[in-house]
Amino acid sequence: MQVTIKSSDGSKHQVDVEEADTVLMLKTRVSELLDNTPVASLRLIYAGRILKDADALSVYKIADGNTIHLVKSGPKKPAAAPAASAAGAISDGPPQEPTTQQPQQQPSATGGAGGMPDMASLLSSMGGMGGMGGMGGTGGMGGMGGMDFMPQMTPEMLEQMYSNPMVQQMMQQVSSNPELMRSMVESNPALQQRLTPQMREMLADPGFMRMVTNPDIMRATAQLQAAVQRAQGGNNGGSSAPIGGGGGGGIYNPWAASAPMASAQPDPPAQDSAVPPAERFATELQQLRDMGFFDEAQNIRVLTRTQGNVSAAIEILLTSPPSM
Amino acid sequence: MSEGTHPLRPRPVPRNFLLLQELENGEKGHGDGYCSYGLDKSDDTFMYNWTGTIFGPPGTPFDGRIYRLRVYCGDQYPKQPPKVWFITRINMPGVDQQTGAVNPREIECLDKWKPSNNINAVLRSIFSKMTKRESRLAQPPEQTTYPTPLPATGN
Repeated sequence: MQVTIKSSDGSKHQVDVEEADTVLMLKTRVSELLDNTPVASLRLIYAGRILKDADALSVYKIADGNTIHLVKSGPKKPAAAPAASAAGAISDGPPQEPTTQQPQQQPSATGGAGGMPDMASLLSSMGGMGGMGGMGGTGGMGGMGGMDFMPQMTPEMLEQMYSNPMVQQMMQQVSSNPELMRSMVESNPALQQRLTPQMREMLADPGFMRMVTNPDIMRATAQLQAAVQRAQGGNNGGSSAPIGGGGGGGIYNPWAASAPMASAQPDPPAQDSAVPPAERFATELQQLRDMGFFDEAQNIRVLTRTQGNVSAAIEILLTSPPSM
Repeated sequence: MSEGTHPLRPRPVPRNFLLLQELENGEKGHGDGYCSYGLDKSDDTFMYNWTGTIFGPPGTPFDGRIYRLRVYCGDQYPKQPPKVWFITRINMPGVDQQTGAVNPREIECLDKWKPSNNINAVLRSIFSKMTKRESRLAQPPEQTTYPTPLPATGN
């Protein structure tokens, strides 16, 4: 079938597509028509709906002769390794992409980390980490569910750390260069001892690395942890609850089973059934909305199922078919 | 929000014909390239709930952003204008900052509604308001949404 791609500047292109084609395939074709405009900067809209890369055109009931609107977004993308994993899926939905918000929220970090880090800036970031004392080497580990690496860190400290431009810059460099992360970890004997083969495998996954180094996700994780601690009446003193520990071991806490401290995990907080989920998970619901999950009822259902674990919820939302 | 659940109430025939025509226009992408709209759910037989997008006008604080809106066409459409909400957060006069509801008084097409108007005209009118000097305001972070419980939108 033939569809018309109509750009906001008024230009039109006819494209032959199959119903089974994915939005990403269509974008690739459009990109070729437009002097190889990067696919990531293309956003397609059909009948008021923003099309998601992974969906087939049939999902949106696009038919022969229909018109799809095209908007080009500015060069907002930070340099990032391609990823085909769960982290990739999070950022594949073009309009909801958390990474597109990065340049706005951390303008100071983009300066030095536009492309691949050169040796000098790499060294300076390592120096910056040294300045952070004992915490330095574990900066990236905080988000990996390895709270036992830095038991004294409160969510506030974590939040503060991730808001630090220096750390953000480091995160960006790490995300564009997973090798750096590995070398950081491997240069720290204490960490090395604790790394299981499973953990090493994850460090080698660029998608996972990208997720871990996304400050937005990490901030959400820290908030989540704070919420868990609140739910526990704060009697843990902010010291022993691993990130994501309150939930069902979501994607950010994949080490729970193997981490040495896992056995010390507190029980999931008792659910206060008197408070409706919409209120109990207000923060988490907002986070899901911000990430582009607009189906409130479904969000509540999923959050209830994951006991408020946003990361696990996202995993479910991304793997289950959209409710059209 | 609670209307639109009376399948047995008689409707004036023109409503459905008109909305069917609008649906086709939306799918064919008639009109300019800045507004797009369609049924929120393709199985909404009586075509109450619509979803629309407006691309931020170039050279305004909205440039480069895509705004999602909800449009509700009640039984009395097109005698009565549709109700409109922004889903994507936007700071502009005439948009309730708590709910995203669009104040019809502030949008010319809704304020001076004629049955010959349509959904595209409403979106155009909002677009036009976005280009006005009075709308040059600081904007909330991109892709944040209003906390209203929303109907499923397929996202």
